[in-house]
Amino acid sequence: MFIIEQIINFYQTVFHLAFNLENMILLFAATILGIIFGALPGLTATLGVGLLTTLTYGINTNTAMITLLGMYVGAIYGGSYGSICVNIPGTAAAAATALDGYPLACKGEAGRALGLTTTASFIGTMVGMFFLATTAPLISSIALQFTSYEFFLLAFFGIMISGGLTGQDLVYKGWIAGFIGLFLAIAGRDNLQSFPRFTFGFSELDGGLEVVPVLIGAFGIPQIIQVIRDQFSIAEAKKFHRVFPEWKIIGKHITTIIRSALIGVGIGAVPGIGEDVAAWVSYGAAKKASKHPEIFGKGAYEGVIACETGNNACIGGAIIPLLTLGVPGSPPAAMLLGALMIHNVTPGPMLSIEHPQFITQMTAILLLASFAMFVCGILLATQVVKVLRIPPPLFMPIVLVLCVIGSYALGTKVVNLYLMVPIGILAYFMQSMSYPIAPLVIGVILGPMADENLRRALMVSQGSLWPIFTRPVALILFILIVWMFASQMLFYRRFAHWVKSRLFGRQKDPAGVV
Amino acid sequence: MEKIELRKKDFVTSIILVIFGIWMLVYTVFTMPMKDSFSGVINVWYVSPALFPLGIGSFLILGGWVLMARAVRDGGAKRFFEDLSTRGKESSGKTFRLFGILLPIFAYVYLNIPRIDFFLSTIFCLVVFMTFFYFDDSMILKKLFRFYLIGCLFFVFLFSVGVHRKINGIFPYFMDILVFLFLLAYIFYCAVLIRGDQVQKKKMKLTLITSVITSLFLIPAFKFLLLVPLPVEGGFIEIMNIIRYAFR
Repeated sequence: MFIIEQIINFYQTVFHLAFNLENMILLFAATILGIIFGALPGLTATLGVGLLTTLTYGINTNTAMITLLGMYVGAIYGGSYGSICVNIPGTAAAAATALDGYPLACKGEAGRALGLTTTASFIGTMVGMFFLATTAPLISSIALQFTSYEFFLLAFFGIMISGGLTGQDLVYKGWIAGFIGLFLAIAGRDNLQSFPRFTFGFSELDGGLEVVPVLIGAFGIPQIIQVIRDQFSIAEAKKFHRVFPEWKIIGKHITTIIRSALIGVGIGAVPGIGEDVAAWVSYGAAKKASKHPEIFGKGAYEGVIACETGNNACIGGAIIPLLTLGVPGSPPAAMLLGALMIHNVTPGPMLSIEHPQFITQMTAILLLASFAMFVCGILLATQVVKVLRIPPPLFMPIVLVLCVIGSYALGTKVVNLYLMVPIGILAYFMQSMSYPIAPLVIGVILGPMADENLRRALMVSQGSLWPIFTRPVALILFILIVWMFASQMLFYRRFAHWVKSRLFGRQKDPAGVV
Repeated sequence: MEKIELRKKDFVTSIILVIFGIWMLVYTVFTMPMKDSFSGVINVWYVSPALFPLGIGSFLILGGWVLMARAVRDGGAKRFFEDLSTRGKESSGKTFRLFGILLPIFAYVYLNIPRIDFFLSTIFCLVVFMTFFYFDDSMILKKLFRFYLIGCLFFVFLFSVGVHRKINGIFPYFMDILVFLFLLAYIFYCAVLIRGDQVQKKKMKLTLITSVITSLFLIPAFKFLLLVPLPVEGGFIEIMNIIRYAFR
């Protein structure tokens, strides 16, 4: 009975949102804008959501979420345009799509490839939405039992795992990025005693760094510098006439779709990882499971389907920890967190009590956004692909102005701009030295949560750390954090090698640690 | 990037991280209460505002140290000291492009936005940024960079001695007019540099149209639709106000 009530409530919310003309106009406009943002190399979903956030602070929360989720879904899908038509992924999430998408376009099947990505993205988003609807209330109710210890360890775990999985060079570079983010987060008056930390006497810093300008700086400025500095040029796009939904081919690869969607949702739910990892893992899994792995990279439909299902399913997955725990699952979800905070909605376990309908509304919006993405993808693909002709030196300065005006507009403080630029330049140099940016951002977002909860937990236990070992969730998180640390140590690798050689006989040490 | 080059950079970064971490610890210890009382609250170590910064500082030192060990092991430190002894290394074109990107950003954010009409600042930033790179000619970039840098230094001088406040007090919007004249001079200089080249002329035209349209769309949208008070509302925004309220 309860489930039926929930389903009825969900569809009522969907229809309530859908029968509002303003909502629908904004949803389609944001989705098209998202597809354009995704398609243009150098512009990312995170930047798109961030810039649009600055335009939505004057409108009501539901309408704002409609526009932001429309942008998010559209941009993740739109990345495939560049991958397929010019072999340059529009977003990192679509990098894996280029491996098979572009060879398909070279064979004259660009339209079909885009049809596949549109359909696969639609299904992926729907699966993500399904998991959001079913698991979020459950996780919320579990999270209500969490104490300060769990929240501190969760925030810390988020930073550690994000650093560990997004580092392209060395794992600890990701952690260092996360800790730099934590440092940025503690600037300002601390929330427990209101003591000014690292403000250097500037009253403007008392309130701490505002999240959205930091996010815009960290993601926007490096993109601008990188694209212009490296003289990014876009080749002539492969031509196609129409895009059709490719249900037949999709039907043939239903196993790949289910597998990729589950991978996408799972990776999305892990804090700070994001759609690019989801796409690569889905692609790798599809290749491994395929009967014909040799055709991957030469224009395999399965490859395109796997990536696009995976990265779009990740959206729903990334929203699950965002809404239930206040921990964003991906960089664009981090931007959504900033947007929610602007609208006085604090994500976390209390969300289901303070705003009981909010998770249902977000799920309904995700459903509408996936439909909007599908319709726009099928009808407007031939037009949208024309944006690939715009030279980067013309649109990147516009992005800069949008970053500046967006960062300023949120608090109408010029000091936000003064901070945004150095953070952006820092992020650029970090990126150029293979430091991932996602952990830095996650650090900025989760820093206050980690700081407050650590001190509150210690206050309750009178300085004792023993409760970590008596509470199951805290203990699991603690073990995972220790294991992540230890796995990078030489002694651990030696020990692991010794155990393996004992169990499976003598092995050559690939890392040369022994 | 070549691995050894990356390790060389890691070596430098690791030193910075260790120094930064030590500074953080020292600053925290000397400026934040550990067990003392603050605002009538008697602290214990585990509620101290210094607890978290101490943890972060310690980790940054540890991270820097591990990174340094790795950089030394992989030959990054050796490469760093080798490169240090080879002097007179010419800066590459990419480095110059980086300066070319940073100059308009810095001029826009730190020089113009706090002092000059926002509309004018935005148009100027767009025109400079686009012309620097859209012409796709390193010689033009160098000449335009020099011209713009000299202009910026002149305005830095004016602003630092506070001349702008005095002149604006006597003659309103004088600085806006001066910057506008600089913009016109910049456009004229661009036209001189690309004279006779039809392709570049077309690019110049497109640059000007894009800059004006973008500014005309964005700034009124923020000012009149989103009701955002702009950082400096000078002569140009005043004209927009007059037009806007004339049609109300």
